[in-house]
Amino acid sequence: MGDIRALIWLRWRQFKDTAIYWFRVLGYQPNERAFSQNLYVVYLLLIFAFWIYTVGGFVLTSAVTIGAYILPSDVSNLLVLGSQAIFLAQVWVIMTALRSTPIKLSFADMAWVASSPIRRSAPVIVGFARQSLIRIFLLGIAFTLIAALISFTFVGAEYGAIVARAVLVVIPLVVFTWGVGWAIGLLRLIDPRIGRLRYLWFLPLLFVPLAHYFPDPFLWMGRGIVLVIVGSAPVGFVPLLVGLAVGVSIIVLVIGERVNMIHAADESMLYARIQALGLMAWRNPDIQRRIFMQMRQAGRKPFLHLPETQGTMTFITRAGLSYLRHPDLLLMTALWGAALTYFAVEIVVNNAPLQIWILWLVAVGLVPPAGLLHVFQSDRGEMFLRQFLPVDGLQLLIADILLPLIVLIIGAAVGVVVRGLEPELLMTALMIVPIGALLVALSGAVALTTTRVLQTRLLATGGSFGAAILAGVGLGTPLAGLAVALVAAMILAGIVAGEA
Amino acid sequence: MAEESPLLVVSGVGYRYGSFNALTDVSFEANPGELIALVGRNGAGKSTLLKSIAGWTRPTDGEVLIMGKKVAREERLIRQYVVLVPDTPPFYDELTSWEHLQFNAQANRKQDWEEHAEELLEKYGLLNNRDAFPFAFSRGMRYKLALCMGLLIEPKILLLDEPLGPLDPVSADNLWRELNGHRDDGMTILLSSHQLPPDAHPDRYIILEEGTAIAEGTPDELRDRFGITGSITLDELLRAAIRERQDELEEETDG
Repeated sequence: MGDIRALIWLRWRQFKDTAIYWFRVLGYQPNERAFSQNLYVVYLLLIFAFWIYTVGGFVLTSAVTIGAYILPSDVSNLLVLGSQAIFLAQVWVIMTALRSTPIKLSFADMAWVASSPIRRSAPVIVGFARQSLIRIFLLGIAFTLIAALISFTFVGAEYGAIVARAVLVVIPLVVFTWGVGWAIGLLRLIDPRIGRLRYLWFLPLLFVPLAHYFPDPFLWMGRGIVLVIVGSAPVGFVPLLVGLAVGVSIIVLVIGERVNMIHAADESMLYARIQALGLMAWRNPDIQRRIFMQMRQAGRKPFLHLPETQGTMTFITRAGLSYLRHPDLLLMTALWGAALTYFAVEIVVNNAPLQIWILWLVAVGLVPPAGLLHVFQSDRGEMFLRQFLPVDGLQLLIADILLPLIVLIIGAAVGVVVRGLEPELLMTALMIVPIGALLVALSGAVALTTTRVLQTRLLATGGSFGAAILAGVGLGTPLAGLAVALVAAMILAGIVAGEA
Repeated sequence: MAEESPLLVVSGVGYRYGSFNALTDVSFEANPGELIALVGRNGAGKSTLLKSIAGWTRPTDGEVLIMGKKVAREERLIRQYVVLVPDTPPFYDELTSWEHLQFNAQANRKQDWEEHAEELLEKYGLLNNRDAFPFAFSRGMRYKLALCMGLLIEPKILLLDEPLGPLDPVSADNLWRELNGHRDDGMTILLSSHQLPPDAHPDRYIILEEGTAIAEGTPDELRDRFGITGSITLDELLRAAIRERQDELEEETDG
């Protein structure tokens, strides 16, 4: 018990340190024990409580009001989908557990917790409880909203009971589901041979087709949860679910005592590296992505080889090789192109107001395609590497983005085609796609030449796309927009050539 | 006969970060086949000086000339003559050690580079790791690979920032031997360091303190100037130069 108490104290201190950081961001100085500071924290808490109350109330009422417009047949479809979603989430939890350790150790934990003679079940219990609480909180919010959405069909405007049942049933569901995940994940930490079965984590996917043909054994829990929410669960379901949750928790406890912390530490390396970044991991997701990619790459043999080429072709083939070794970057780029173009066409077809265009532009500037400038960013960002590249910024950019740019254009074209347009409009849209993709690349590249990357990218994206959209909409011809876009591309290209 | 112009001229170089002077009026010249040690405490301005010479950053005052060409103006041209290896060199995540060398050689249109690359990897003990990804290397191995990348393109000037820090004593000795060989082949080497192997004898020392070059000269000249007997050590040299500087400043203040 002492071990668990010590660990809970450690986690509480860590939580407190993080909370103090955020309080400091808000202007509260916890070390100053002044009356004004105490008053300020009361003020902050009141504001927070008021915000939760008003926004929460508004969201709940809105969900109930929206729910009143949903047809009962759609609600029943939604509930069927809900039971299937619960099953799929359970499959996903088991897959995740088979891929990496449920016990996540930071570097400090590896040094002081894993290497201490602490009872092995202590970090397991504390970790499991912590993860379950977070899941209960998050899923509780989601279940509350869903319950409010469907409440009108069953009980009219009185949504209190249905929401309460939804929130309560989340607790045993989460404990059972993640308990099963932890138990399976911990088995890997006891017997490393399970971890060496590289593709074992795909196995739970087999449940999906099985559930299609034999739904009862797989979907009963999801169905039961849905029935609990709507208030018509069979007698005994809730006690059974609670019993299962308690039983699985005991199994986790028993298995947890036999965990080998060396395996846990080995498998925690990725988590520890990201955790060591602290807030940087959130402020700069690129670093997180890079760590993920490095860890994945580390376990693989080099795939393909750099072809024998000279000069500029070397840059192109090198960039190609980098992308082929990380095909997910290309896939993400293509999906990004398809999604953003789909929405752009939707905006044009529906003649949406200017505010929607601005929203679309902000999305393009804020969340650019992650893979598009991956290689250029390495070349440009590290002077040690840049010094070996005897080409100007624009040549380098063209060579580095050639492959992902083609992929982006293809993805964007697919987006247009999937959305569907009349033949003559379709041709115009397909003509705009390559120049739009080029503008996205150039705006991102220009941003990388400055220290204020986000601001510059927003400005370059907004300026170039904005001018083209205004010209196209204002003059009533897409060709005017195209011409302005070309001019913008040339200006951005000039900046990249000189600065990168 | 007209006197040959120096390969590297650093003339009145200054560098300011906001109101902080990282470098103030640093001037010196370097000729082909010279090995110069830049010595100074942490924050003395050694790395900033090396970056200014390599064209990684533009000095706020003065200028750097390489083969008579201004670095700030002909930054791209001089890249083929100068290589700077920083203390923590970065690498491409997707390329193996060998592919880094291959990419470097091909991008710089080097012919028949394979044998040279293999020799370098062999010399620096990386041959067994040629197909490994450098992000998984130790700091010393990373530095050695960066050196191989730099040496593969045969620069006229090699700038090394703290090259001996990450290396084990045996590797440090080997590196020094290799650097002597490159110096004998006519390469100019400028390195910053806090430590040198016992048998290491640079041709010249430049001592930086708070961004200013407070002493410069051959080992003999500095030995005479600071009254050092026996072989010179960096530690001794640095302490003597700083002491002299403090004495000068005190005299100025008293005066």
